[in-house]
Amino acid sequence: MSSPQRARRQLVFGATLLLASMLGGVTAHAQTVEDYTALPLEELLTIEVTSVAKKPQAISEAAAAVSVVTREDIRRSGAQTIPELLRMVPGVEVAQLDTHATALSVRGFNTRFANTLLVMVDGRSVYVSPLSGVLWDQQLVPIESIERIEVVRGPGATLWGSNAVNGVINIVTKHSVDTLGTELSAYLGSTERRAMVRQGGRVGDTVSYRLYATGRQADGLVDENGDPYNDDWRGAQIGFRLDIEPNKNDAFTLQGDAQIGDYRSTLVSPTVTPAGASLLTANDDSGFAGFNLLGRWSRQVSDTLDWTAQAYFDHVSFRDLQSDVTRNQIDTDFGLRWQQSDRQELVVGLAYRVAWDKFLGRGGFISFTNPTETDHWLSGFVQDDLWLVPDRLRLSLGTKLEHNSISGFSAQPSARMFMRLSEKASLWAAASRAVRTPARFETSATIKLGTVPPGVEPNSGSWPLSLSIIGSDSMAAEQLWAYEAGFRADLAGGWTFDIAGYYNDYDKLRSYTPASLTPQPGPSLALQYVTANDGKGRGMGAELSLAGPLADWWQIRFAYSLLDLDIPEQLSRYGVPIELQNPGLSPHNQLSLRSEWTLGQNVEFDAWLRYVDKLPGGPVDDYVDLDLRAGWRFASWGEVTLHGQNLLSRRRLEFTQPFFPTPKNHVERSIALGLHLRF
Amino acid sequence: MQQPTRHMRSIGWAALIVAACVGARPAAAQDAHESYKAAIIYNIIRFAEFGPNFGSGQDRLQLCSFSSEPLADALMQLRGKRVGSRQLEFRRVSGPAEMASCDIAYLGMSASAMRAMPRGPLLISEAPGFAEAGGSVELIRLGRQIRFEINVGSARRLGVSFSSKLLRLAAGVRDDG
Repeated sequence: MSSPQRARRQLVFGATLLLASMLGGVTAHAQTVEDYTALPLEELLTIEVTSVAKKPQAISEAAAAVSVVTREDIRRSGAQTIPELLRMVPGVEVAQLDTHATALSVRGFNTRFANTLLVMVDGRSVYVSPLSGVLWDQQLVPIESIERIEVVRGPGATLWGSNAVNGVINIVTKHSVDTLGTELSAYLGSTERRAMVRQGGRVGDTVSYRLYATGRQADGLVDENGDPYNDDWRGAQIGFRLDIEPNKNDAFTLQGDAQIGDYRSTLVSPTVTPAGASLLTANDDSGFAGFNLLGRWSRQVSDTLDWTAQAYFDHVSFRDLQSDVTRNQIDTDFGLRWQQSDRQELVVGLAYRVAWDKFLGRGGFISFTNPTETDHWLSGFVQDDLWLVPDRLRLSLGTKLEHNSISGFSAQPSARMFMRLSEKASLWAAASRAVRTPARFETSATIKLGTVPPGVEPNSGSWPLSLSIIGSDSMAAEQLWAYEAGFRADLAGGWTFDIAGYYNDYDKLRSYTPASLTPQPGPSLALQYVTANDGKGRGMGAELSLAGPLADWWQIRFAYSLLDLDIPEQLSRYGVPIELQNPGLSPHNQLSLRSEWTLGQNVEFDAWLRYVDKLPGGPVDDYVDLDLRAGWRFASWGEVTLHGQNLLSRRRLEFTQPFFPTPKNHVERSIALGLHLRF
Repeated sequence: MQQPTRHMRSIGWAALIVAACVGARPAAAQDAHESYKAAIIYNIIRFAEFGPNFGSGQDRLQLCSFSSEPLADALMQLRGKRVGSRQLEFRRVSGPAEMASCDIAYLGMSASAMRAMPRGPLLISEAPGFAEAGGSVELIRLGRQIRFEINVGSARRLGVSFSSKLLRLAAGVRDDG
């Protein structure tokens, strides 16, 4: 363990207890000066001192497909929002629908409310269960305060529970000791503006804190001719973090944020008017407000035993989709790690969550049978990591047992194996099960989709067809069995290689199953769908990353993702197709190539080339695009950057979707000036 | 019979001391912590650029700490590491006066030693407020965390500059002009 080669591979990862436990691996060896000096400084600084005798946890030892977006990745990408950053991670699909809507998913199933992905900010879930998705535009954590973003592709349900089906994203903010002093950022762009101010300090050698405020304003996207859709977006957030570490064994964190914002949202629904068939566009004043407060206590009882207790309250309210929605959530979590011996480590956890929400439809688009509802989740997990052959072969077995008031009891087990082939190469394989709980709109809402004129998809008849979806309370959880394997190697010259492949077997996928077809006065036909679990599917794919230096001053980072998702079509008993998730809204192939030039101490020049395959299930074409960034550090306290985004095309369409459709919004080329000061 | 026993006893003691130094100590958590701190100090030195006239020689950098300093053992292990074209040396000193001939002085928790210092060595200390008081590098301890604050003005006066990467990773950067 004390060889420098080995230590160099130990990318530090997963300071949170839960994530670390997924990686497994009992590394009971003491770390020498040699071990630590072999680590890059940025990784060295993220090690928690008291746990260093036992850890650092290494990505290179994870029995899962894991990527980490680091501080340096964030800074050099020029990206201003979290979804933009995630475009660099293999296996992740990011498509902007609107200023307030992003379709973001891992390994398929992409839609505006992609529902198979669990997203957390410092361990606080931002997955909105009534909607089954994440409101990405409302994730306003300043990117300057992010320590790293950990992305686990594939199920993480054994540790995190329901909805961690295809992936887990954990956004980890910096410890407040890393944000001392004053920091100011401004980004003035042709399509968006953002500013951030932050003040941090410490009291003695046990307390540090920070306060921040940030605001962002984005111009609306445009149509195919470049005319604006009038969907401007603006939002602001303030927040704080307080860290108290009175001794080497205890760490307390208290943090909170509050936010507000407004935008115009446009919904499109097909309709028939006396003038003929048209698309009805509802331009809606929309907005959001929310706040959260989180407390965490982690304690290192001994070198072999530590635990973390965490509780948070989160309130979200928004007005969109012709609805007023509020959601409140209280979550408590306890996790304990016990290293029984050099060969074995046990992790257990217990969690309880209660969420109460109110979902009021306006304008007849969506209405709920019970506008208010309270849901409970109680869960426990246990995972055991055992080195079958010391330092060579590790087996991790675990399961989550969960009961929730939406879909009842579920067990979400996993088995993971890690094999070290040599000092520089390792293999891993895993089999795991995960479930997704139905959203509120899937169990107890009526959605009126509009009236489709004859001859317009999906109406092949000669009468207008009005479509609606009725939520069924017998809707059950979707299920996945996932089989994964991967290989990692350190190549010559500082290059690293990582490949992961998977086979996902989905069952009980949500379907909109035709239930009745009735003639209406007009004349027209009314087709009513009910939500059911008639879908089955399978996903296969691979993700590859390759990174390394071409010269001292030139770093290359390459990522490739391949996805083949199949959800076979089915016919209902009326001969009408059952509406299933459209697998064609995910690209088959994606490429990302980043080049980072560091020219002397103060000048940087970065390029980011991306290829995203066409979406076969819609009108979205494939595209190649390029971002360029030049940075100049003019003083120890200041840096100025010039950033061009989407430089190869004037505008492009990234996503369309059949339900909750938005107009065909195009993302435009943009250029921006950034200023970053720190005192 | 007495001579061999005494002899064996001293061998026993020697073995114990050797075991304590070689075997048992690296396993203790305290050592990992000191190794970690030493590695951070090494990184700070590694990302520093020393002017051609800085220090006692163009091909070496002498790092010193007081012999009573608990970190001395860990710092000693940095000996021989390269910093640009220079090689790190390590020396234990008994008092502030001896530090004058060092290139880099690790003062531990002691800040008072700094006032006794001539302008020569680059000073690193853990004493709270050290960077604000004009010290070049202050190690910040916050519970489990160790970070550093840099006073680029103080370092500049000694002929030392720091890379932008190091300054970005610093918990704080000051410039006393």
